Amino acid sequence: MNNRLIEYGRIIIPVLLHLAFFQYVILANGWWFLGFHLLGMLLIPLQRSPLFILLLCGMVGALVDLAAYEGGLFMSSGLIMGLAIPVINRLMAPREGYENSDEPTIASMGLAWFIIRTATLLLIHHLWLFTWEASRWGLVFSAWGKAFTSSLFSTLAFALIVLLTQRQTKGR
Amino acid sequence: MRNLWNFIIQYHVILLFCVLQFFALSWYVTRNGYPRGKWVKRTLEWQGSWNEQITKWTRLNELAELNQELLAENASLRAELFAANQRSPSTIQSAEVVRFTWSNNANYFIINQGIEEGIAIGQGVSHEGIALGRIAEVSDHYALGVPIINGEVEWSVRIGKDGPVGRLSWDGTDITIASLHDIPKSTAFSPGDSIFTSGFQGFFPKGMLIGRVDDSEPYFDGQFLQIPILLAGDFRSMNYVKVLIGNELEQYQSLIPNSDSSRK
Repeated sequence: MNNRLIEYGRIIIPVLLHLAFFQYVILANGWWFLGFHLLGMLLIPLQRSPLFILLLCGMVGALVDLAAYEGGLFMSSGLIMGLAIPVINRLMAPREGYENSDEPTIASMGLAWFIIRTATLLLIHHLWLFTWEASRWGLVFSAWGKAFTSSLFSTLAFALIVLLTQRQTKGR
Repeated sequence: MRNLWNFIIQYHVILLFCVLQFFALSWYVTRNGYPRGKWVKRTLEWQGSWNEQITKWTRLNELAELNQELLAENASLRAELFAANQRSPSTIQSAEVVRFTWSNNANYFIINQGIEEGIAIGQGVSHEGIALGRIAEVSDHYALGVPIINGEVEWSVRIGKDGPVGRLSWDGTDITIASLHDIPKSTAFSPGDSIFTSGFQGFFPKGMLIGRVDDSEPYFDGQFLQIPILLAGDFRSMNYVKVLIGNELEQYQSLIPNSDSSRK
């Protein structure tokens, strides 16, 4: 019961924090975009089905769209990320596969695994988001620049947050 | 039939992704430059009050109350001045900006005045006599506007008080620079010349300052000049604005055959 609460809390709390505070934060003229709701998507348990992940990511994205008046942009990017999460999870799975107790956290999977997975997924999300947001060819290169810098910044921020808030569990 | 069913079962995630992605992108593409509709009105209400709370926290040291009194007084004086000059708008409503984005392509802002304060879609928004944007959606107590630095909206402007009219648009990169299009090559102008609203769109009266011709070289596309314009509005410090109530948009639209207002 407690584990289930923590599991949902990990997804819901970052989304609420993003809607309440982080969507107002503009760092370095938008070059360091911190989509805090993405932390919730990244912490969806590894054992969840691809369908569940896709629907949850789409739903979270739509919620952010409604709050930020972005009209489907975050939903679209969330769906891309929702499709990519199971693929990346599979590609990064240990030889013997994931155990039931494994979580997508630093404590459970290690820092390198967390950083590579987070950076890859954020890059996929941000490339899609900023390219569509740019809406024209003249802005595509600056959009990709924003995607790279924001992915790097968010990865470091998320790693730090997860490190500071993690429970002490036995790693792999 | 069974094969089709098997196909759907096997690729259900991809198929669902395609359907949802199509919906999301349609939503994004058809939002027509700025958000509209019932959802926007509802979220505008609850988010507006939350935004206002956040703004209050961040501006605790700005003597907000005193500022608002001064602005209200300023607004009534300006309204009198406009009336004396026999120019629309007839009333000016001061408002506080509770949210403003300037790092996106489709930027927007939210002000803490809505239908109950006389705000309506299409009214111009200015600050210290400088045109800043227009209202795109309103709820009872809040309004959502599109600023000049919104890459999906164009503005009708004029070089000088009586120069040629062109389209002003923002290219999404620098919030201090916009581009003036459709200016004939023969037009005489020099860096520093003022750019004013033409009044043709009805959002602003004619002759409101919008920016100045920038020092950098204009681009010639073979037919017309594209002139870089240094915007006069300081969008990063847009805390208080004035909404031009009673502008000419509704009157214009009622004269246009098949316009929305004439159909009603």
